[in-house]
Parts: sequence; structure tokens; C-alpha cells
Amino acid sequence: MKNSFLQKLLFITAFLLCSFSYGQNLKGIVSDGSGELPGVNIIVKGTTNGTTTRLDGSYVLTNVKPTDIIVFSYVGYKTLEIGVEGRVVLDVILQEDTNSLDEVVVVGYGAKRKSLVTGAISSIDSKQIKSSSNQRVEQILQGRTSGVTVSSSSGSPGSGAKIRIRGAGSSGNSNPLYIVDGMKTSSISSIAPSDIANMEILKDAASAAIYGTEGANGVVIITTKKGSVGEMKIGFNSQFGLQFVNSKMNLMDASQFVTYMTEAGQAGVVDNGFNTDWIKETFSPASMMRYDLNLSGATEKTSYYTSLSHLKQNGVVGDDNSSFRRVSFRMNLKTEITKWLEVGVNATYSGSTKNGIQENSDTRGVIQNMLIIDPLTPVTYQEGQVPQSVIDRGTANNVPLLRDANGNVYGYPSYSTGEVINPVAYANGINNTAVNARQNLLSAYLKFNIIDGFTFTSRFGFEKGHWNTRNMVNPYYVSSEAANTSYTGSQTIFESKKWLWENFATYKKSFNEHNFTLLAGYSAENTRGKTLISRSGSAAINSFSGFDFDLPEFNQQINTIIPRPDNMVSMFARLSYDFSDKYLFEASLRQDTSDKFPTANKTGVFPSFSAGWVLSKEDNWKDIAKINYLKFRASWGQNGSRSNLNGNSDKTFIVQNIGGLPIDYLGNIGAQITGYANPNLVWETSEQIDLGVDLRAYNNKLNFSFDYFKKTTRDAIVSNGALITPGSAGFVSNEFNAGTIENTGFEFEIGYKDETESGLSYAINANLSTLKNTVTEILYVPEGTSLTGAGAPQNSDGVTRLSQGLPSWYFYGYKTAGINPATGEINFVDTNGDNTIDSSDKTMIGSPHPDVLFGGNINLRYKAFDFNLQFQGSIGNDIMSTYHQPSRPITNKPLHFYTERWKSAGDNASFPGAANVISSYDTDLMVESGSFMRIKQIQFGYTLPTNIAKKMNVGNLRLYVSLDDYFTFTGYKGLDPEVGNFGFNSIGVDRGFYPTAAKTVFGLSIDF
Amino acid sequence: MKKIFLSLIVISLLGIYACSEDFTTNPRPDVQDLETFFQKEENVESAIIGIYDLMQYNYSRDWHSAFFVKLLPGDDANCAGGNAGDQSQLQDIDDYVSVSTSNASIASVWDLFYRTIALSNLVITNIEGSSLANKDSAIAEAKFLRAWCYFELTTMFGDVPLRLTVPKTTEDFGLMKSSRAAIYAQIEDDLTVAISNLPQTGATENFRVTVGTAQALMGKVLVFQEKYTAAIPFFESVISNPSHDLEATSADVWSVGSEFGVESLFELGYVSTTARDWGNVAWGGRNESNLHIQLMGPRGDGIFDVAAIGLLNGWGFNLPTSKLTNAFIASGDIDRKNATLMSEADLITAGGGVDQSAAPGGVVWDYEGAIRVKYSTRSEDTSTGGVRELNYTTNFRVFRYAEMLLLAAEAYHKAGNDGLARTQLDKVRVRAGLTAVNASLSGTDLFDAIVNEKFLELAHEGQRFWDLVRWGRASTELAGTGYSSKNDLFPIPITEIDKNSELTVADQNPGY
Repeated sequence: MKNSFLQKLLFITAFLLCSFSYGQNLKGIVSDGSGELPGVNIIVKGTTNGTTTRLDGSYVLTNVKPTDIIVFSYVGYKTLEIGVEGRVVLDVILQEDTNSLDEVVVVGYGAKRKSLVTGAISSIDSKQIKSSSNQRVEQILQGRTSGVTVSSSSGSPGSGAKIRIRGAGSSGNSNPLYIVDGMKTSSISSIAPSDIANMEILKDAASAAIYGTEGANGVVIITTKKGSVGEMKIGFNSQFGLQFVNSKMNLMDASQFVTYMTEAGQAGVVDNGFNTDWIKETFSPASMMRYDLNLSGATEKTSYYTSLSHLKQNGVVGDDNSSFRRVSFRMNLKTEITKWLEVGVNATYSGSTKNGIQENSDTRGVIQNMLIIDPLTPVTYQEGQVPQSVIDRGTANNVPLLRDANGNVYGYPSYSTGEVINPVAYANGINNTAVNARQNLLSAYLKFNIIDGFTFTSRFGFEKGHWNTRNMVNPYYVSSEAANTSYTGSQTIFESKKWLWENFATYKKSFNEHNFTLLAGYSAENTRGKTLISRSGSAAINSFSGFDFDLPEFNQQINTIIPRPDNMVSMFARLSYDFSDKYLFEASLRQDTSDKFPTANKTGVFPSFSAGWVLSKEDNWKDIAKINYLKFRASWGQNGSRSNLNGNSDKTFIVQNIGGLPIDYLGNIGAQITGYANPNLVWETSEQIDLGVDLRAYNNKLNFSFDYFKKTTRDAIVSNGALITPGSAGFVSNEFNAGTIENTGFEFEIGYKDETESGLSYAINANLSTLKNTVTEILYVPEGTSLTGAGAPQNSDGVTRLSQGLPSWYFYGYKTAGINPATGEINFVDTNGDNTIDSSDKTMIGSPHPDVLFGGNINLRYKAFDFNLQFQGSIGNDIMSTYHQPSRPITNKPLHFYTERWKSAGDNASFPGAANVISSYDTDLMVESGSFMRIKQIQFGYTLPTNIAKKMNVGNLRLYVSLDDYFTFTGYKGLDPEVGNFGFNSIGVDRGFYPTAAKTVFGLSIDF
Repeated sequence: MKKIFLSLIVISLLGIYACSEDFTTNPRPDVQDLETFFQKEENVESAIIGIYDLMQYNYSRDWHSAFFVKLLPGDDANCAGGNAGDQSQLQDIDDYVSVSTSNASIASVWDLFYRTIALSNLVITNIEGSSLANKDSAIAEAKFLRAWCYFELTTMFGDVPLRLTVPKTTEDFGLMKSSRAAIYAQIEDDLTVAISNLPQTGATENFRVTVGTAQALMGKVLVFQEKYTAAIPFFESVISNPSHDLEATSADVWSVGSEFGVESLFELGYVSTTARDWGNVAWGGRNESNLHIQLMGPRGDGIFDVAAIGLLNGWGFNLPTSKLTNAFIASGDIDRKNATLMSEADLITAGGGVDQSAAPGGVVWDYEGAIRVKYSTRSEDTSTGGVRELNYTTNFRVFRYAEMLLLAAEAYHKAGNDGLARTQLDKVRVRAGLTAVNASLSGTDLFDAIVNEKFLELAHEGQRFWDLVRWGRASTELAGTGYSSKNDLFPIPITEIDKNSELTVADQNPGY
């Protein structure tokens, strides 16, 4: 009632105004130089007389006086004010405004103008993504913003990269929270990069606090594309790439190896004529390709975007035995049903198949075997040259010999013993793990515009994933420790479902120059993961009829996996206030109630405050003309984390089943307890202070941001209760709060962009962050002792530890002080001064945490040509190799073990004599600096000039060639400094990883 | 329309809020509450089975079995394996000098004995006040198993924490060491209860401990405390009990047919029903089959050809010493020797072979001319199909009547009754195909004869070293091996000292 009255009143006022001011019609077309722009707001300055452009960019504005000034405004473009000066036709071209501070960034449950942001938020938009040749969303984030580390735990196709925002705060899962179109998702691996409109990274606690429990590791918000008003647009992208391994790592060759082994007392190792470079043999070039097709468009009320994307990537190890294929489909729809109701649906489906080889194992893995197998073994034997002992081993165990595709017998280790297998045979002929995944993500919303400024949104999200993992091992007999005497297989089918229902209201109100936005909401979520099938077994060689997992042979062991429910309800509210865009303030509060915590501690409350001062908005600022914008901001907030929890930690349960199998003694069912209740478990809380400055200068050409942060994670939860439970307690404690971890750092981002008169436009961006990680407190264990983390072969002390006052999960081992020139033995440092060297002398020998992370890019564009260079690196982190085998003396080693070794009395060597090398495996000699800089991408592009494109009936056509991960600058002697372990307690532990492949990518993108 | 929508939303919001308490309470499925579990007799039985299951696990855990760890310091066996560095934590125990406080195998044995104790404590604590029909027998069984574990612990570690209750919170994890005397006192208390409430052999399933087992163990515990006279009545009860006797021949003791037979006072059973293969074998976990047998089989890779004597190849650990071989020869012991080990010459005669050149460095590590056949990789002891290496069903006879007879002989001798001592000794000798000892054999000579008999009868069974220590003979018998008196006890695992708030490095056993 009130509404329609107001409308009538406005209408009458407008009518009256118009009738008094006599005018004529003005028409024209608005474009951006490459195409017409529909939906541009056009208004006569100082009046309410306005219109918007139609689908073809045309407009007609009535009642225009010759002296009027017309204002053209459109999101993402510079606002243009132009005088009519008596004209009746006015065609204008709007300039894109990439520097715009009026750009809107997505924040939790809403959006905000960038100029008003008080937290530390970085954004990446589709333009940056467009020029990227990356296959996966995570890779796009690499090197683009400060404070964000992206590293893969494997370079194998389809392996996800891990994102760390401002360091690993937690002692468990440190993944950020991913929000895709409002829906929380467990992974972003199924999203095609070409579907992304923009990504926001919420780094500070105040920005993330609205997500409460899950915001402690930062939040990545992804918004997918929408159709824009206009005719249907068709886009097509295609990529073809060739990958290869570009590592400088060297192992000993045959003659060096023989010398080394002879010195080590292995007289049996003699030159047999073979000299295999296993690194060269194991890696081979592989192809990859990607196609994306999208259709989009919109009317004034309804918009749509739909896409289909296909990706196929083979591996540089084992080719299609380690490959990834993905097909994804997306449909985004949005429509205004009535003036007060908007409905939107975003849906995706992704289906993928990943084939993988064995890696990240310190005793049994393709890469690990590649690094240690003797070079005196041939890749394959020549016809008739298969040693009798190899044939005998096969026949004695009734196992056929390993053969390549051409029927040649693979080489069996000539000297290496134990678990070592020919890596080429291992990658191609022994085992394969195939994962078929199907993922659906749906989010739908209803948005009610109740009264002016007041909206209510009800959003429902649903995620479903289905993973079918099959592990298949062919029979082989290499040695008694490396054998499989039948066809062995296992299958696991896991399904997860999650729904999230969020209801929130937003009210915006301004009084004079006081602007308020109030948000309040409520949400409930339910996550269920269920193992539908877990079975394994083996089929005898002579009765094998294929890996059909329904056969009884592969159902010999059936595991029952107990599902872990996860429910949470939350309430949240946020107040944002600004005075005239100048003084900014924001406060938020979230309350989460989760079933993961003991009844008494089930609810956690997470507050945050932040404030900003836009100094450049002050009246007297105009004097300092060079600086266009200057903002100081400060924020404080708390977040939680519950991702490491099983739930019900306050209870001691009785189970009759361990690891999915019944506790059985001679056919009788037994029982035992799960673990000791920990009724005192509390929420892990991460508290963060952030101080920042944003600056733009020289007509917005230069932009600069600075942040200081201190993130304190208290009561960090560790799920492995064995770490604090002495053996004499019998069973182990449930999850416990381990202590306090502190991450502090500075972050800098700087960028400069301009265009020369000759038409060269350039942009240079760089970012740098420092990070200091310290464990400030450890609970439960007696003072001075530490928690043991990652293990290594035959090393019961572990190679990583958590101790008070040191970086979390630092490397642990013996310190050395050179090599004894007389004996070639290692001089161990007696750190505790008790005149004996034993395991109590082990100490910190390195830290996996970098001191500095940096990245940047350079973009150049001249007429039809463009160039893009992007780099990333880290300084100060260490990597520790644990792929060496203390129990297997006849193994190969990196070349520097040979060149820097002690040879004879009097040598001042840096590596021990060959006879003493095994004692170096748990010392600082295995620790190397992991600092590196890598050129992630060098890309040259050519865009067809508009007039030629028009003749060909295409809107835009770009061709490019890109060199990805081509050049790496590092002193690290291993395979790849960038790839590393991401287990929370084994960061930087190198057990033999699939390295990142260098890629040459050819691409084409066309818009119609 | 708008109003209807809004009211619907408001109602559903209130709805969720109202049931959010239930919504966020999710009991774990497929588990049972501790508070109610022990109210049922069959559940108590299930928990007792759980204790046996832990025993089975502890004695056969790959690389860390209690069976092997206890045996390694003895002069009857060498560690062996693939090479000198194979499973260094096991080699270290065999070689005495560098046994580390972080030795993973010693830590595993410690942890698993305490886990077995913890589950026993749980049963005892939860049913002591109940009126269940099986309360007395269940407590007796749990107390026997607890006593067994504490006896193993104090033998290997000396003074250890004596935990008899279930920790309620993390604060209860810290516990000081108790003296070996206090441990023995608790063991005797537990065994007294066990003796009065355990069933007779035959009155229960064959894998369970019976009154005879408890009496024999009580005797053994008393002998270890040199309370010889007190031990004798317990041994006599077992000897006079017709349920217990020796198998007919030495070879019979190790046959599949004699599993849970008349000679077994306590035996841990293993089965092949889980059909383990190289994909689903639970490394470090519970397999139900005896994976440790594979570890101890004569090494393959072209070294030992043992098919002709009915064995499969394994990973080569636990080879006999020449001292043991020579002791058999010196005693004129043929039958029992053939049931225990086989010399290289005999192996070749039987159609097998040894090729040392196939071993790394051309020498089989720790090989002194014989392979072990007791507890070896017999093809008849594993599954007929599937991966035979991983499905051995060989049971561990952890307490045999023969051992008890030799303990009884020791007790009679020390108590001054050499006649009855000779009687018990001769039972074992005669079964082994030897003649009775000279009727005048007495004093130190008789004791030496008992010592030698035990060396041969219980070779590779984990008794030898701990007997040498308590007899004060370790320094002479093990001279030149690297042994020193610190080896009389294993080090307390550093993981225990680090995490037990009541222990410091000052509580470590001497010498470590």
C-alpha cells in the first residue's frame, strides 16, 4: 500500500518536472569499442530523467535540453559525463575501468564496494583467468596474491593442489573454506576455470569470521559466470599441450655407482655393461587437451549461462596409466519472477576418471624406486638376454615375467634388493589405481525484495559426490619383498551428500551520510559420508578372468566402514557502517553449534571487528594530488576449526570391529574400546589481528597494499591421541587440544599499469609475503618433550617434531659438523653435551616453512599482440629427503653424494665416505634449502583485429602459445622444489614425488 | 502470495531452531556405550575374547612380535634377515650394543602388553560389582591374562608402572614405576584368584587358559623369585593333573595335529580364514594369520632351496647359532635336533640347497650353517590356495608342559630334592629320545644338565636369555657377543618417558 503510494508520488513529481523543462529527444549507441553495451544507465545529470540501453546498445532519451550533461554509467566501465551541446545523436564509447574502486567484491553473504572493505581480501577476476592456461582452479591462484601458497602434493594429472592462506595454522586440515555460488563445497577440483567470473580470497579473521567454525584457514569464494544482457553469446576455447619433465636432478651413473659401492664394501657390484639413466627412462612426454564451450545471454529479467568442458591429460610417468579426464557441465539461471522475487539456480555436474601410479611412499613408490634402483639394471632385456636367475624366480613362484607392450622383458634389479622394482615396469605394468568420480553441486535461491533496501534470501545448496576407486595389481615376482603372486584388487565406493540451507536478511539504510548495512541469518547443514563398498581379494593367475569386482575372488575381504555424521546449525549477524565512504566500521558475530564437540562445548561463538579510514576522502586531501586513494584499516577476529574431528570425543565406546573388520579370535567375536574419552575437548580457535594500508596513486595507475597479520591458533586440535598417551595407558586418548601455534607476517602487493601513446599497455604486479611460524605452547606432554610426526624407514624417532618455541613440525635429526677427514665418518654434534652420541642428541635440523613467498606477473599488450609472464617462488624453506633405505645398502643416490664424498684419509669432504653413508640418512645432510623461483607461465597471444573478425563473423578470436612451468631457479638438488608433501606433520618431507611437468600449450579462444 | 512465502519461511526457521539440539546430537553408529555394555554376559565374553585377540596380535605383529623380541638376545638364535641392516631395530637387540631407547620393536611390545592389561582392567573394573553368572570365571581369565602380561613386562623391563585401573581423563595417564617385587606381588594375587575360579582343562574351549595354566604360571613366577619351595606345590598340581602331559615325540610338538594338544598350557591360535593377499594384508595390524612365520622363513631370492623339505621361502630372520647346533650334537640329541633345525649338509642330502652367492655381498647374513625348522614356513601350515606366504596358521605354544617340567626340576633341585628334579628332567629327555641322566647326578652338575636341557628343549622359544640373566650366567655364556650387564633389561621406551608425566629420564633402566 505504502509502496504504490510512493511510486505514484514519484511518478507525478517526474511528470511535473518533465513538463516544465522543455526538451528534445537524444539517441545513440553505446559501445566499448569492440561491441555494443546493453543495459548502460543513462541519466541527465542532476535530474531523474534516465533510461538504459537496449540489447543492441541503442537508446533514446527524451526531454533533453541542449545544455544538459548526460551521464553514462555501467559496471566495470569508467563513468562518462558528456555535454549534449545541441546534438540529437550521441554515440559514445565507454572505457573499461580496471582500476575501479567501485568494483564490487563478494564477501560472505553479500557484496561490498572495494573502497569500503575493511578486511584483507584479494580478488581475481575472469580476465586474469582467461589468459591462464591452467587446467585447475587451484593453479590459477598460484603467485597471484600475497599470503596465499598453492602447492601440489603431486604433479600427476588430476592431483589437486593445496591452498594455504597465511600459513598452516592448524595441526590437521589447514585447507581454506571453499564457497561456490554460496554453497560450501569440500573441493573445487570439479570446477572448470573458464566458468569462473571472479574469486575472492578472504585472508583476515574479520572477513572470514562470518563463516565461524570453518573460516580459520581463510575462505575462497568463487562466483561463476552469468549471462549478460544481450543476444546469445557463444564462446569456445581449445588448448593442446605437450608436457615433459624438466628436472636437473642427477643420480650416479653406472661407473660412479660401481666405484661408490666398491668403496662401501659391496665388492659384488661390478660393471655389467648397463648404464641406465632412470630419471630419463621413467619420464616421457605426454599430451593434454582441453575444450570449453559456453552459451550465455540474458533478457532484462532472465539470464542464463551454460557450459560444457572437457579435459584430458596424460602423465609424464606411465602416460595413460597416470592420466586424468574430466567432463563438466554447468547451468546458471537467474530470473526476476516479480518485482519482489528473484530466483536463481546454479548447477554443475562433473565426471572424471583419474588413473594413478604409486607415489609418496618411502619404500614402495615409482618415483622412490626410480631414485634408488641401481643404474646397472637395464630398462628391458634384449631378446635372449634375460638372466637365468630372473627366469628361475618367475618359474619358482609360478609368476610370469614383467613385459612391456612390445613383449620385451623388463629389467629386474641387477643388484638392488628388497622392495626395489624397475620404475618403468612399476609405472606401466604393475599396478593401477583408477578413480571414477561424479560430483554434483547445486545451489538455488529465492531473493525477496521486501521493501526498499530490505531483502531476504533463502538459499539451499546440495552437494553429492560419488567416488569409485579400484586398485588393480598384476602378478610379479621381483624379490621376496617385492612380489605379488596373484592378481590382487580392491574396490572402494564412497558417497557423500551434503545439504546447506541458509536464510538471511539484509537491510540497507542511509541517514544523511551515515550508511548502514545490517545482515542477520540462520543456517543448518548436514553432511554424510558413506562407504558403500569396500572389498578386496585376489585371483589365482591361472583362473584370472579380469578385474571384475563382483567375482567372489575380489570379495574375500569386505570391510564395514562406520559413517561419521556431521551436522551444524549457525546464526550470524553483521553490521557495516560508513560515514560518507570515509570512516568505515564493521562487526560480525557467528554462533556455531556442531555435533563434533562434547555436549558441554558444543557451541562456539566467533566475533570480529574491523575499521577503516579513507584518508583520501578528507576534505583537505586534494592538495596531495598524486595519491588518489589512501585507506588505513585494522581488523580483529576469531575463527574456529572442526575439520579434524571425528565427533563424540567425550565418550569411550566399545567396538567389535577395527579397521572395518570384526575383532575375531579363532571365530569368536571380541570387543575393545575405541579410545579414552576426552571430555575437556574445546574448539580450536584462531585469533587474528590484521593492520593494512591500501593506496592508489598517479591517476590510479599505481596501487599498493600492505598488511601485517598475527594469527594465533589456540587449542589446536590433533586427532592422533597416541601423541600424548604413554604406552602404559594401553589405549590412546581421543582427539585433544595440542597447544598454540602462531603465524605472523607482512604482505605487500604492488602494481603499476599504464598505456603509452603508441598504444602499448602494460601492467606489472608483484607480491611478497613473509611468514614466521612458531609453536608457542604444547599441552599435556611434560615440558621439554615433543610430539612425533612423520616417520622414515627404520627411523623410530620420526623426522618431524612439534616442540615449544620452534616452528611446527620442524625436521628432526642429528646435526653434523663435517666429515672426519681420517675415517670418512660423520662428525655428529653432541647437542646435549653428555659425551655420547645417541638419539637424545637429535634436534631441529630444518624448517619446512618458508620465510618469504613471492609472486608476480607482467602483462604487455600492443595492438593485436599480448604477452604475459607469471612467476612464483619461496625463500627459506627446507626439504628433507626420506626416500633412502637404511636397510638396503645397494641403492643409488643423488650425484652429490658421490661428488662430495670422502674418498681417502685427509679429505675434507662434505659427505661421508661410501661405507658410512647409511648413518647420514637421519642427519642434516638430508636437509636442503627448498628456495626456488619458477616462471609459471610465459604466454604470447594474438587477437584478430575487430574488422577482420567481423568479416569472419566472430566477435573475438585469440590464439596463444604458452610455456608453463618451464624455467625454475633453485639450488635444490631433488626433482622438484615446488611439489611437496602436505600431510600436516610431513610438510617438506620428500619421499619421492611426481614432479610438476613443464608444458608447451597452444590455445585458441573464439567468441561469437 | 508474498505473505504466504514469508510466513512459511518464518515457520520453518522456528522449526529448525526448535530441533537444533537433536540435529546436532549424533551418536556414533555401530558402537556400544561403555556404561551399558558390561551388563550382559555375552558382552563380557566378547571383551575376554578381545584380550586373547590382543595377545594373538602382540606375539605375531610383523617386524615387532613379542615372540621374536623376547627371543633375540638369546644365544640360541641370530636375527638374520636380508642383510645386516634389515630391520635394524631387531638387529640391534640381537647385537646388544646399540639398543636404542626409541627401538620401535621394544616400544611395540611394551605398548601391546599394556593394551592387553588395559582391556583386562576394563573388564575387571566393570564387572567386579555385578551379579552376572560368568562374573567369577571372567575375572579369573582377565586376571590371568593381566598377570601373564605383567610377568612378561617385568622380566624384560624390571620395574614398570603398575596400572590396575582405567584412566578417566588425560591427567590419569601419568603413573610412576613400581618395583619388580610389587609387580610380582600383584601377579601372585591375580594368579591366586585365577587358580580358584578358572575351569579345568576340557571344561572349556581349548584356546582358553585353565586352572592348570594358572598353577604352572604361578610356579614359574615363584621360581623367577627364587621361591622354590613355594613353587613346588603348584607344579605338583599340574603334574598330577591328567589333562596335562608331554606329546609323544619332539616332532609331534610342532605338528598341526597337536595344536591345543595335551602339552600346551597356553597357546595362541592363528587361522587362514581371512585369506590375506599382498593387497589387503594389514601391515602392522591384525591379520589373524601368523605373519611372523613368513618373516622367519628361510630366505628365498635364490638363496635357500627348501621345497624338498616341505618349507616355503620367507624373509630369512631367526637363524640358529652354531652354538645351538653344536649343543645338540654334543648331547647326542638327534630327534629333537631334527625337530628344531637342519644343517646345510642335511638340507642338501634332503634335496634342498644353499647358494650364498645369491645373497647381497655373497654371504648370507647371520647364517651359521643351519636353518631353523621349529616354527618354520611349513607348506602344510598355510592355506592351500591364495597367497600362501601371508596365511600361516602356525600356533605359538607360548607355555608348554615341557617347560614347566624343567622349571619343576629346577625348583626341586634348588629346594634340595635332586631325586624329584631328575624325575622331571628325565621325562623331557626320554621324550626327546635321550636316555635318563645318571641317577647319581646332583648338585651343580644336575643344575648344568637342567640348563643344557632347557637350552635344547626350548631353543627359539624366547626363554634362554632371561634364564641366563636370572641364573647369573649371561656374562659367561654371552662373552664376546657385545653383551653387557645393561642388556639384562630392555630400555623403557622413550615414548613412555616422554608422555608419562610421572617419569623422567632418571627412571630409565641403567646403562641406557
